[in-house]
Amino acid sequence: MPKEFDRLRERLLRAGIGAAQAGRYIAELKDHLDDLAAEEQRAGWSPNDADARAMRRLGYVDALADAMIARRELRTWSARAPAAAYVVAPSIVLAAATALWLALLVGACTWLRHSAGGLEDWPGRIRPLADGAAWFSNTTLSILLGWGLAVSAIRQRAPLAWPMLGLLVLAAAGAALQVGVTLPVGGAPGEIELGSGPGGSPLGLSGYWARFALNLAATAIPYALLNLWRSGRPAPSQT
Amino acid sequence: MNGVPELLILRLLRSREMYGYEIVQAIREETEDVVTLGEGVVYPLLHTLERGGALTSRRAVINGRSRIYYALSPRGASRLTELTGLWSRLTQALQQVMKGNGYAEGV
Repeated sequence: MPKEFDRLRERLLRAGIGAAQAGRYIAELKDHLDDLAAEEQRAGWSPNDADARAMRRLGYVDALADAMIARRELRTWSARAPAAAYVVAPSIVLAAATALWLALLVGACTWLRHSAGGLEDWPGRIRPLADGAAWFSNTTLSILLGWGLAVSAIRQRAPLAWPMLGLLVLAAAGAALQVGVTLPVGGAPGEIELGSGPGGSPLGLSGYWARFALNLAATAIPYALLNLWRSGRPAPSQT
Repeated sequence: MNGVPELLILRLLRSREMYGYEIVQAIREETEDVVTLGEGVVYPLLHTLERGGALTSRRAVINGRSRIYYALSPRGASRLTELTGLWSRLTQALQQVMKGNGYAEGV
């Protein structure tokens, strides 16, 4: 029986049903099957016969899968709008996360400037934090988002094309979106510098392409290899 | 028969919360086997009703078994009232037709 449920899970995931939804459906079906088998045993059937009768009453994999797949509202957002989920959303998250930490930094600087209460070297104290955030944002954030995208796509058994395109776009956006922060010193104001593309990157064209290649190597290549490996594994056995 | 399973499920859950197996058995018993839901295919409908806000669910361990219990939400109660009215009008109309009327007899 577990093999049938494995096959059902694969069918549901490939059809775009969310992993949590599929897991819950299967857990409920297992409970239901146990109840049916117990009912059949109470009716006088041997355990083996009761199990077989319970399975027939529950329904076979195709019917159980079709009943779930037919309900479009139970499919994930990534199955219904893969371009939005895999291509557009990660880049928006990247931009939003960058904007958020910059806003927090500006807010912190403004607050410290007006209420540091004699703490003259406050820029020096938050410089390591600001530099660390800029480094993380410039080098790591897009890779982490790419891994998140890849894990979600693998978990959801998504076809390769949309997640790969999403990783490509994310690698490009991550390479382009480079932030430089100069904290206020003395009376001089602080400065935020944003690289906005291959030509506008603080590090210039070669820096952009190097970052792009690094992002791709860290996300798209492992994802493609993992997909290749998974596609070579045997599918859950047929009933 | 479109909408019948939904109506029956909402009606059953009006009085108490139930899990999937209980719901299927209760429908069979209360309709004296006239309406039987597919044992396994009741869950997609329950999930859909829950997603639409008509049902709520909670996991509970009873007699050592963890089950998901479904209950009617306020939105589900409104939906039940709406469906009940709809089916009452429909059955009245069908009975009217089945009894026969002037048009049918005159033809």
